[in-house]
Amino acid sequence: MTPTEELFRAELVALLPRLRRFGRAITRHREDADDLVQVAVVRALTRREQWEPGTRLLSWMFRIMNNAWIDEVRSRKRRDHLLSSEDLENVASASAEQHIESLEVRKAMERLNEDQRMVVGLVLVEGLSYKEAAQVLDIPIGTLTSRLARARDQLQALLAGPAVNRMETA
Amino acid sequence: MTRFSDETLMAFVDRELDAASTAALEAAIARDPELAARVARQRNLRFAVHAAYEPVLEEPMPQRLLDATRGKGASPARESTTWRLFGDWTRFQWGAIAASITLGLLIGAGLWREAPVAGMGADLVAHRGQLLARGALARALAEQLASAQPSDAAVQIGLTFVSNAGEYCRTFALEKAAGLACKGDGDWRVEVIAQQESSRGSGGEYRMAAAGLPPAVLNTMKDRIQGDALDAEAERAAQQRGWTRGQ
Repeated sequence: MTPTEELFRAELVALLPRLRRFGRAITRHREDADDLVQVAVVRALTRREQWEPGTRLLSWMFRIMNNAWIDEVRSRKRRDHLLSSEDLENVASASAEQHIESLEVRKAMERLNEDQRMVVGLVLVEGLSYKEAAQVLDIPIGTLTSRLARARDQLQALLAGPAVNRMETA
Repeated sequence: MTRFSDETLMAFVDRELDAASTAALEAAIARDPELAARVARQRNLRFAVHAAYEPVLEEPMPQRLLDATRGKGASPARESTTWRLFGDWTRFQWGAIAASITLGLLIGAGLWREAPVAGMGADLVAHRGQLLARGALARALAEQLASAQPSDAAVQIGLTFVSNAGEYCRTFALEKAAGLACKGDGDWRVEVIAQQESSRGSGGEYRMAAAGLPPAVLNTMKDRIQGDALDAEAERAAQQRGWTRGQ
């Protein structure tokens, strides 16, 4: 076992919380999110030699998750099993009362399309720069920013009304 | 007055605007309450979206994800042809490297500075990708003799041997884990540590034989050991030399 391999696995473990958070943002469903993280970890370990040391492992993991999720969505569509957002009511769990706004944000996120959730997940949830996010998704920065702008407009529209007013006066 | 597009305002709250545009926009915000409100709206959205997912970081980590990093566990439970493909490989390939993944797991967040390892009290710190013994574990490794240790000592020392790197290495058992540490550069470096339930006998008596070690520890020891394990006399002599190997 080389030091590089040990570092790789140690870093992977350290990244798990953020991978789960990103997974939650893009999949809309807790179990899907954790499945996705699990798949990504397995893929990362099998393809470890494809990761270039010195590049950011987090971005590489997001990229793997992104691709795995696209595969999964396609395969579910083929089988007509794509989850409807009615399946997703349990996201809020016990903290619903304290986090009404967060609940509304997550519900709004669920109504974005896959592409939009990816960009919002990377930039707003995970705080990646435009450049990093564009690299993860393998798209030009211009595409990223216009997708992000549309996603934001839609979120603003979905959240318009009581929730947004509350946020602005807070 | 310049009209700022929504995309510019978004880039501003994302800190993606260059310095000159940022300064121009900040100046404009100070003069223009309507513009300030538009920026606030974008900033609030960014904040709200971020906050909505922040609690995920604090949630307990599902065991199956930790297992996945160690190459253990099955494929994701949910039905999926895409994902199921990857589970089989796991069991097939990962047995051999599971031991070092265990170490990777424990190193966790402490890659670049010394950080206590969760769940291990102050006995283990991660530092620059290595796991170092501290506290009671370090003391036991340095001082305790397997031939003369109290049966209720918190750390039980097992076998001591010289590794093929020429270092003294010792196996040890904690309450719920057992491992192997080697002395180099002033620190006891934990080469492998694996969970082990009830490594002591029910009466508190514990005697570590190689057969009682978790496989990961045993395998690492077999890889490293040069010659035989030290007997009580050699162990004592090595301890008195401070675990340095004189000629």
